[in-house]
Amino acid sequence: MTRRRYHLRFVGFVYIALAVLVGVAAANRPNNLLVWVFGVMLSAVLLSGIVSGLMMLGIRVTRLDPRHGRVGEPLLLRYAITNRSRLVPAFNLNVTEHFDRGDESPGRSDRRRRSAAKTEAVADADAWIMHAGPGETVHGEAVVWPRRRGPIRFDRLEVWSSFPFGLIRKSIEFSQPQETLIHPRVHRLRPELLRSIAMTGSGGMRSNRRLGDGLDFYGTREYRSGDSVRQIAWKRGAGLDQLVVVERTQPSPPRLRVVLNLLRPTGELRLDPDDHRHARDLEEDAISLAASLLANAESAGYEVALTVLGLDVPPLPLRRGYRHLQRLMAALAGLDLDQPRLPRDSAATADFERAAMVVVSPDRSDPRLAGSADASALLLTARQLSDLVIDSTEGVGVPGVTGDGGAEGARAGQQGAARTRESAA
Amino acid sequence: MTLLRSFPAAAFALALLSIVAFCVASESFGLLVVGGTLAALSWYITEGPRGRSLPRWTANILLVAVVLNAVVEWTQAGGAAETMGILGRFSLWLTLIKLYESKGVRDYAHLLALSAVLMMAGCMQTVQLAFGVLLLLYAALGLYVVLLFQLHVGYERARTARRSAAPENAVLVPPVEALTGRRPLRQFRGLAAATAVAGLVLSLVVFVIFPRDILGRDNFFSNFARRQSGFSEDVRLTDISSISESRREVFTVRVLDPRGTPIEYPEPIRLRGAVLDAYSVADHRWLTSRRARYSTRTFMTEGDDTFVNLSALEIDDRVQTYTVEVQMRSLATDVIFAPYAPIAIACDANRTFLLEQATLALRDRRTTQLGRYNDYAVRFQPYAPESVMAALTGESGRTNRQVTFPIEAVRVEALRILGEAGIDPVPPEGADADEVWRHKLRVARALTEELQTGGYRYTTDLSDFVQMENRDPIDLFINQYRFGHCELFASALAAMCRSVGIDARLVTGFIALDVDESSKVYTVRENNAHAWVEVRSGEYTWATFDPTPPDELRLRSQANRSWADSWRWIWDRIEFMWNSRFVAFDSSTQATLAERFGSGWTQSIRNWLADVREWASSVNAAFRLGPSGYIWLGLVATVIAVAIAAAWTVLRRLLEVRRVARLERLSLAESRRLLRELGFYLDMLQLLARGGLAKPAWQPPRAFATALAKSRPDVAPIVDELVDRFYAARYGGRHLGHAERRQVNERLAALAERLRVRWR
Repeated sequence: MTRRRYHLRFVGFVYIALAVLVGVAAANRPNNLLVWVFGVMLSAVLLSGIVSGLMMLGIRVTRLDPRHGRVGEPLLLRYAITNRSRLVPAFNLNVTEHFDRGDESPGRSDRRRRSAAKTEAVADADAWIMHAGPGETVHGEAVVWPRRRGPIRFDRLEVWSSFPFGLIRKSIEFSQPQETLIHPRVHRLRPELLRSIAMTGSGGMRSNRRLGDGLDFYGTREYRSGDSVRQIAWKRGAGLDQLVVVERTQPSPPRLRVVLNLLRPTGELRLDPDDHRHARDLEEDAISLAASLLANAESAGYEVALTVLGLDVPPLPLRRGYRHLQRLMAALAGLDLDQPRLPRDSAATADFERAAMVVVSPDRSDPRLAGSADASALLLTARQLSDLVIDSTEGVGVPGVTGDGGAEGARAGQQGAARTRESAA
Repeated sequence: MTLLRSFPAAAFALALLSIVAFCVASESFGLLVVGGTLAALSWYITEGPRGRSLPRWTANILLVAVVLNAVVEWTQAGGAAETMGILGRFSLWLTLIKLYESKGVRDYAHLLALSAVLMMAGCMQTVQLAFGVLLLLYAALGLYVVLLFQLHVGYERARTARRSAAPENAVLVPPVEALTGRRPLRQFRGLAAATAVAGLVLSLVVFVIFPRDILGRDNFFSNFARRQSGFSEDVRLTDISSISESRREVFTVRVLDPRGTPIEYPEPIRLRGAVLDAYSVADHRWLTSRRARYSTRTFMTEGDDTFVNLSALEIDDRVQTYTVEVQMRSLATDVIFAPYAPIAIACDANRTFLLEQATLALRDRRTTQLGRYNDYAVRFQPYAPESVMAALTGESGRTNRQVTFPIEAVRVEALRILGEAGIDPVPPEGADADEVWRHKLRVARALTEELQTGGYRYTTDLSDFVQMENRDPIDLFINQYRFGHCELFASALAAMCRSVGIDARLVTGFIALDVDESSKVYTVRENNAHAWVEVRSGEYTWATFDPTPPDELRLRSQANRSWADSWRWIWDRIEFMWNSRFVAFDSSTQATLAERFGSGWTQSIRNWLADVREWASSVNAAFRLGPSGYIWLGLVATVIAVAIAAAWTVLRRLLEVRRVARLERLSLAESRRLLRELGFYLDMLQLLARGGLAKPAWQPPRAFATALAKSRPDVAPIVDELVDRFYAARYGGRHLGHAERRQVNERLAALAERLRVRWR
C-alpha cells in the first residue's frame, strides 16, 4: 500500500511570500525585467511540483532482508530503489525507515517522536540516494545503531525528496512489515578470564581416543610410503627389524558452558545502594556478559554451550562455529525478561559433560550452581562486567572475538592441552 | 569533476556574476573593480592551495561595519529610489564577506540568497540590455546551482545524520557515498536543461499575460525613451545630466530628393521630436502646452509603403518636396522624427499615427502592431506655402495670442542686443503683414547671431553652472555664465524672442550630421540629440533658428570616435530589439497579441484549407479527371495516410525489438535478420507485461524464466521454450524456419490464453 503526500516547506512559504512581493513591485513599477523575474519565480513553483511529481511517480522501494544486528554496532539496512519512469531521472532521494513502536499514536509529532526515539531500541534511520536513472534499480543503505537487544519490527518506508528547488517535500510511503533480531552487546574480555576457566575444571584442551594430528601418543604401525621421517620410531623399529611410525591422537578443543542464572525475578534482585542502576539493567548486563563469554570463547577455539536458568529456553549443546554462535546469540537476544521465572531444573546444570562452566548471575552468585567439587564452575555477576572488560570503547564496532583475546585464548588452550599431557604421563 | 565537487565552483561563479550584474545595473565602475576583484581573489584565497578563510570574529566585525554603513547611507538617502541601491550595495559587501568565510550548507544558502537579492536590486535600477543578458545568464546558472545545492544539502544532511546517530565512542561509521560517473552527470544536466527551457517558456507566458495597467501605471515606454536616447520630450534646465555623450546609433536617415534619388542634404537635417511651446517658470521647464495637444488628427497607413497625406490637400509637385526614410536602430519610441514641415507619411505596416496640428508633431498611437518602431518615411516641404500649412494645422496653428516672457532680465538683455544691432523690436507703424513677419524674422536672426558669436561658449560640462534660488537658469545663462549646451542656447533664443513679442517655441529632436557619402545615409547617434527654436514666420508658418554654434555641433558629433563605431550597429540592433520588444512591452502590445492569438488560429486554419482546396483543384485540372477526380484524390490521400501509419507502426516495433534483443552493436546484415526473426520475443514480453509479469530490465531472459517457474509454474514451460528459441536465434546463430515460426505463434497464443490476455 502506498500513500503520496506533498508538504510545502518553510523555505517554500518564504519563497512564495517573496514572489508575491516581487509581483506587487512589478505591478507598481513600470519595469518589465521585474515582471519577467516574477514570471521566473512563479514558474519555479510550478516546475517544482511538476518535476518532483514526475520524478516520484515511478519510484518503488523495497527493503532487502535485513540481517540481525548487535547492540552498539551499526546495522545496515539496504534498500532497492527502482525508478520505473522511462524518461525522468530521480535525484536526491531519501528513504526513511519507520519502526513499529506499538505505543505510537498516529498524531505524534516528529519532534516528540525524535525525543522518544532516544530511549527506544532503535531510532528512525535515513538512506540517501543521489541518483536513480530512468529504468534503473539502485541500492541505498541506512545505518541504525540498536540500543537494546531483542526483536525490532520494521513498519513502513517513506521515500521523500525536495528536489529540484527544495520548496516542496514530496513523499511516498510503502508499507513493508518485517522483523529482525538485535543480539546483545559483546564486550572484549580480559584474556586471563578464559585462561582461568580453561585451567580449572575439566574444560581444557585434551586429546580424544581417535587418530589425528595432535601431540599425544596413539599407537604404532608399519611404515608406508609417504610417511614423514620424523614420525619413525627408530628404537621400536630396530627391535622388529622393520620401519615403524608413531601415530598421534586427535586433539579435542576446550569446552565451555555458560549458565545464565535468571532464576530470581527482576523485582527480587538485590541492588547495591551505591549503584544507581535498575534491576533490569543488571539483567541486561548479565546477558551481555554471557554473550561476551560465548563470543570470546568461540573465537578462541572453544566449543561453547548455553544454559538459561529461570526462563523457558532449552539448553543449547556444545558446538563450535559461526552458525552455532549465532544460534546462541539469537537465544540470548530473544530472552523475554518479563516472563514469569521458572524454578531451577537440576538436570540443566548436571555434570553430564566434560566442560568448564561459568555461571553468570545478575546480582549475586549462587554457590549451589557451582556443581561438584572437582568440576566447580566459575561464578560471575553482572557487576563484575566492567572489571572483566578490557576497554568498554574497544568493544564497539569490533566485537571481542578477534585480536589479542583470540591469541590469548589459543595460548590458554595450548597450556590446557599441555596440562592434560602432563596428567596423562 | 563529479557533480557534488562542482558545486562550490558553480556557487562562486553565481556570486561573482551577481556582483558584476549589480555593478552594471548601478553603472558603478569603481564598485565593479573593487567588488569584482575582491570576489575573484576570494576563490584563490579560500579554495586555493593554502585554503585560508576569514575567522568568525573578523567576519562579525566586518558585518557590523557593513550594517552601520548601510544605516548611514540610508539616513542620508534622498528618497525611496536610492533604497534599492543601498540594499544592493549592502548585499554586495555581505556577499564578499561570505565569500571569504569558511562555508557550510547554511553559508551557501546565504550566499545564494544574497546573490538573488543583488539581482533583484539590479532589476529595480535598470532595464539595460547588458543587465538583461546578465540576468538571463544568472537565471540559467542559478537554476543549475540550485539543483546542485539540493544534492549538496542532501549529501551533507545524510553525512551529518549518520555521524550524529552513531554513539559517541563509535570508531567505525559507514560513510555516505556520493555517486560519480558520466551517466548521472549527463542526466543531471539534461534535467537542468529541460527545467530551464520549461521555466523560460512558463516565465514568458507569465510575462505576456501579466496585467500591465494595474494602478494606472502603464507608462513602460515613456519612462525609458528619455533615458535611452538623450532625446527628451520636455526640457528641464536644472537637470545638468540630460546631455548624452554616447555614440550609440539611434537611427539612420536617408534623404530623397523630389525625384526619389538619395542625396546629401545641403544643411544639417533637424528631425523634430517634441515641440515645446510653454515655459514653466516655477520649475524651469519647457513643455508642450495643453492647447497644442488639443487639436489632433489620426492617419492610418496601409502597410504597403503608400504615402498618406497629413492634410486634405494634394501634394503640389511644384513645391520642393523631399522624403526622409528613418530606420530605427536602438530607440524604441512612439515619437516620429521628421523635418519641418511633414506633409505625408508611409510605413511598411498597418499603423495609426497622430498629428498634433498646432505643432506638427507626429506620434505613433501605440495601438497597432508589434515591432512598430522599425522604420517609416516622411515627406516634407522645407518651404511649405501658407496654404499647405493652413491645411495641415487648421485653425489651431494660427497665431492668436500675445506672446510675452515673464522674466524681465531676459527682455532687458534682448533689447540691449537689438539696440546694439540697430534693430527696433517693434515693427514700423503702417507696415503690412508680410513686412511685420519679415521684421520679426530679422529680430530673431539678430538674436541668434548674438548667441552664436557674442561671447557665448558651448559646453556640455555644466558642473560650474550653479543654480541660484531666485534666478531663472535662462537669466543666469544670458546675464552671468554665458556657457551651456544646446538646450540653454535654444531656451535663451526662444525666451528673448518671446520677451520682445515674437512667437517662438523650443524643438527637441536629433540633428543628422554624419553622412556616408557613398550610400548617402545619415547616422544619428545619441550625442546628436539637439534642441533648437522655431519662430513664427507667418500666420501658419514657422522658421527654424538654431542658436547653437554650428562648428561646436560638428565637433561634438565627431568627438569620442573609436574603432568600435563601425561594429556598434550589431549591439545597437540587438538593443533595439530588446527595447522595442521587451522593455516597451505594455498593455497595448498585450492587446495586439491577444487579438492575433484569437484570430490567428481560425485564420490560419482557413488559409490552410483554402490552400488544400486550391492544390486539389490544380491537381485535378492537371490530370483532367473531372468531378470524380476529387474522389480519386481522396482515395490516394487515404492510402498514403494508411501507409504512413503502417510504416510508423512497423518502425516502432523494429526499434523495440532492437532494444529488447540488444541488437545495437551487430552488423547490419545480422541485425536485419534478427529483427525479422526475434519479433516473437517482444510479443512474449508484451504479453507477460499485460499479464502483470513484466520482466525487469536488469534480469537476463534465462534468469527471468527460472524465476517465473516458482511464481507462475503454469506459464513457465512456455516462457522457457520461447527463451530457448530466443537464445538459439540471438546467440546461437540459428535461423527460424517457417514451421518453427508457426510453432512459436502457437506457443504465444497458448501463453496469452493462460495469462488471460488478448493477443492479436
